[in-house]
Amino acid sequence: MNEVSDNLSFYRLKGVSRRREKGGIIFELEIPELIIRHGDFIAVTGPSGCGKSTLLDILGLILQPDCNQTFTLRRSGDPNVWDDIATLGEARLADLRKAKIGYVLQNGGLLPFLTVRENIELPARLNRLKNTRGRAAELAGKLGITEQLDKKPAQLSGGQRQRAAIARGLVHGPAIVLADEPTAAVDQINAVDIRNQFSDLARQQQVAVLMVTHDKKLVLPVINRLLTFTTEKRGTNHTVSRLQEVPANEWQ
Amino acid sequence: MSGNSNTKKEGSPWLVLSLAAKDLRHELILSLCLVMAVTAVLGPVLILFGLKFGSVQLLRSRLIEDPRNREIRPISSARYQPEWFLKMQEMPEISFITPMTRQISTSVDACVAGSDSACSGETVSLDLLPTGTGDPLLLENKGTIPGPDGCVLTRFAAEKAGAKTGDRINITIRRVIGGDWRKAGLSLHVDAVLDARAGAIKAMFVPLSVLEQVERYKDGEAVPERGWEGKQRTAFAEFDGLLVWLPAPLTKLEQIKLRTSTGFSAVRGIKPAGMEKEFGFSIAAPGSIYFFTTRKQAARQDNIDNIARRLRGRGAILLPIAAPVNARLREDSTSRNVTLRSLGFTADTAKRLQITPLPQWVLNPADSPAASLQAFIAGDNTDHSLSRVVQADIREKNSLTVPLIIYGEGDSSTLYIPAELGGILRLLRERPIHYNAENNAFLLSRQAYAGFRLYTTTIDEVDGLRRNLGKEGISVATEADRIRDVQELNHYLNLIFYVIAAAAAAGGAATLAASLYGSVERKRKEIGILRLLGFSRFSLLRFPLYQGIILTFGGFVVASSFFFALSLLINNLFAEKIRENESLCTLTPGHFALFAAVMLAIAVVAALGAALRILRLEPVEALRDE
Repeated sequence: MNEVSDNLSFYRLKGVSRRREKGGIIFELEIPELIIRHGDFIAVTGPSGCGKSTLLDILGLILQPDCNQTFTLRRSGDPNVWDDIATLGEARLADLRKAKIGYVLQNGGLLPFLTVRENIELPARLNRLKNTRGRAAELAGKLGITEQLDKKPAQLSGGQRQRAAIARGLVHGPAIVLADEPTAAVDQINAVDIRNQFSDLARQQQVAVLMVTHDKKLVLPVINRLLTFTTEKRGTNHTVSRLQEVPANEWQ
Repeated sequence: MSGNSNTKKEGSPWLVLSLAAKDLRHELILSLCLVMAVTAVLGPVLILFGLKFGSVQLLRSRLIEDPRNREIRPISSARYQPEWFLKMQEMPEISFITPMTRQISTSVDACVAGSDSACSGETVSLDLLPTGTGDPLLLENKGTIPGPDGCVLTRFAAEKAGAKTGDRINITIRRVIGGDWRKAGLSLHVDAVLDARAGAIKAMFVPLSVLEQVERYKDGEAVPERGWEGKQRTAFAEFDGLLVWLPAPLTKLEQIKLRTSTGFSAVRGIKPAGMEKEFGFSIAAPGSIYFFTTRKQAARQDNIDNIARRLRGRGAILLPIAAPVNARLREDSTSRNVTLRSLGFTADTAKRLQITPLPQWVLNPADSPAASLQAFIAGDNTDHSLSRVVQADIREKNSLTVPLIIYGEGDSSTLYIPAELGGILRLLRERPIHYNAENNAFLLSRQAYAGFRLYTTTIDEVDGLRRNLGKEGISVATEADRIRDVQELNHYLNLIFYVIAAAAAAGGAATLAASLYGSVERKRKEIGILRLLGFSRFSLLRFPLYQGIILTFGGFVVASSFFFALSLLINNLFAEKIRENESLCTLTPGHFALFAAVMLAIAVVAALGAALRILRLEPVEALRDE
C-alpha cells in the first residue's frame, strides 16, 4: 500500500464489488477506489437503484463485498495498523461498528421504546464512555432538541427526529457518520437548518460524513467531495453501477 | 474524541436487559396481556397443586398427629415376658409400650365419690387400661400421666360417670371363686379427662401396678398392698436331684420302678469314695447310695414325696440336692461374694449317715422355707453360736434380695444353707420370686403379661413394626390401611396433577414462544438498528430471552397473588372443617421455588425460537424493507 503516508485517511477501498441477483436481473456495484479522510464531508448522489444503499451497507460493515483488492480500516489505537475487513469475524465487525461508525437513517431510525435521551445515549453507553448524559445533553442543546429529550420518538416531528438521530450518530465520537437521506422527509427550511447543524458539529468533532442524498443543491455548500455513479448495461439483465468521484471543479 | 475500538464487550451487562424491559414497558398493554396469559396457565395449576398438597398434608398430619394411628394392638392374648418388654422399649421406632393384663380383669365398677367417700353418682362399668410415662394417647389428648393413686378418664367415661378432673372415683372389683362372691374397693383421683379424639371408649387409664393388683385380686390372690384378702402364691423349692441312702441295695427292677411315674427319669449308684467331690460331703454309714435326677424340669417336693412313699419301710434317707447358688452378702458398708451350698439333712441325720465333714452346727428344722433364712459359715473352728443378719443379693436369671441370718465367723466363701432355702433360690433360674417380709414368705412374682399397649414414634414405622411382630408370631391390628390409603391417594393425585401440569406447561410455553417469536418479527427493524449500533448477533439473543423471563416472572407473581387470595378464600370456606393452623390449600416456599424454576425453564425454551430468528436476521434486510 503506497498511500499509507496519508495520515488523514482511515477508510481504504480498492477494487471492491458487490453483486446482487433478483428475479434473473443482475445488479453489480463496483467501487474502483475510495479513500475517506478525517474531516471529509462527502455527498453521494444518483438515481434510485444505482447502489447508494449498498455502498452504505458495505461501508457500515453490515454487507460483505463479494470481492475486494483492498478494504481496510485504520485502527484507532494504533494508526499504523490497518484492519482488513474481509478477515474479521462478526463480533469484531460489531465492535468496529460500535466504536467507529455513526448512523443517521432515513426517518431517524430511533428506537421507539426508548426516550430521545436514551436513544442518544445508547451508542455512548454501548461504548462505556464516561459522562454519557453530559455528551447527550450537550449535543441535544446544540441541535435545539433539549425540550424533547424525555419524549418518545413517536411524539417528535420529522425534523426533531432527524436532529435526535444526528445526535445519536455523533455521541460516541465515531470516525465517520453514514447518513441515509437525513433530510428527505423534512421541509426545505428545516432541511437547511439540519444540514448546517450537522456539518458544524461534524467539523467541530473532526468526523467524516458520508451522506446519501438526492438533493444535491442542498448539500453543495457544505461538502468537500461529491460521489456519483455511472451505470452501464452489460446485456439485457445485467447492470453495472460504478462509483465515481466528481472532480471538485465540476460541481463547485 | 476518538472511537474506542478495543472495547470487547458492548455496554454494561444490564444494557440488553434494560432495553428488553423498556421495550416491554413501551408496549405495556401487550406485555400485560402476555403476563395474563402466563397467569391464566399458572394460576389454576398453583391452586390445583395447593389443594392437592394441602388436603393430603392435612390428612397426613391428622394421621400423624393422632396417636391412635400409631397404635399397634395385639389381636389375641399371649404371654409376653418382662424381658420382651425391655427389648421393645429399647427400639427407637417405639415411642411407648406398656404391658397389659388379661382383658377379663380390666372391667370394674366405678362411681364418683362424694364428700363422705361414699358413691355420690351413678355407678358405671369402666375398662381399666394401663399407662405409664410417655403414653402419647394421654399426653397428646390434653391428659397427664396419672400418679400412683391417680387415673385419667376418657371423655366418654367421664360423661358416663359424671366425673371431672379433681374428683375422686371409687372403684369396686368383684370376684367369684368357687361360688364365693367377694369384692374389694379402691379410690383414685381423677388427674385428667382426655379429649374425645382419644377414642369413644369407656376407659380409665391407671398405672400398671394398679391394674396388676386388680388382676391378682380377680384371680383370687391376696393383695397385701391394698389390704385385699385372698390366697398367697407362695414359691416352692426345686431341686436338681435326690440322694437316697438305703441300708440294702435296690434291684434293677426296683430302680426302673422308681423312675416310672415319679417325676425322676434317671438313677445311678454313688460310690462313697467319689461323693465329696460331687456333693461336698460323703456318707460313711454302710449301705447303698443312689442319685435320682430329672431330665427337663427340676424335681419338686411332690416328686420327692413319690420316692419317699415307694421306699416306705426300707429305712431310706432322702437328701434333696440343689446346686450351689452364688450370692453377694452386704453387711454395713462391706460386701463379699459367697457360694451358698444347700444341705438337705439335720444334725441327727448327719450323725446317722456318718457324714464327713460333719457340720459343727445344728440345722433347725424349719416348717417354711422362709423361716429357714439361715446360713452357716463353713469351717471347723467357727463358733456357730454367733449370729448376725446380712442382706444377700442373689442373681440368677431372676434376682432376689433376702435377709439372711449368718451363723459363725470367718471369711470362708462357702456357706451352708438349708436344702429348702436352696431349692427356693434355685427357682430363681426359672421364674421371678419376691420375699414378703411382712408375711415372711416367698411369693411367686408375676411372670408374663397377656397383652400390651404400643405406640410407634411416627406412622411410617407402623407397617414395618407390624411385619416384624408378625415374624415373631405376634399378630397385631394397626391403622396401616388408613395410612396406606392416604399414601395411595397422594400417589394418584400426584399423577393427575403432573398430567395437568405438563399440559399447562406445554400450553404456556407455546403461548409464550408464539408471542416472543411474533415480537421479534415485529421488531426486525429495531433489532436491525441495534445490530447497526454495534450490538453483536449473540448479545441480542438475550433480548427475547430476557423478555420471556420478565413476562413469565410477572405471570408467576400475579398467579402467586391469585393463589394466596384464593387459598385464603378456600381455607375460610372450609374453616369449620379444619382446625386452627391447618390449611386445606397451601404450598411451601420450596414449592414456589420449584415452580419458579420450572417457569424459568419454560421461558428459556419459549425464547429459543425467537432467539433463533434473531440469529438469522440480517440487519440489511431489516433496514431496507420499508
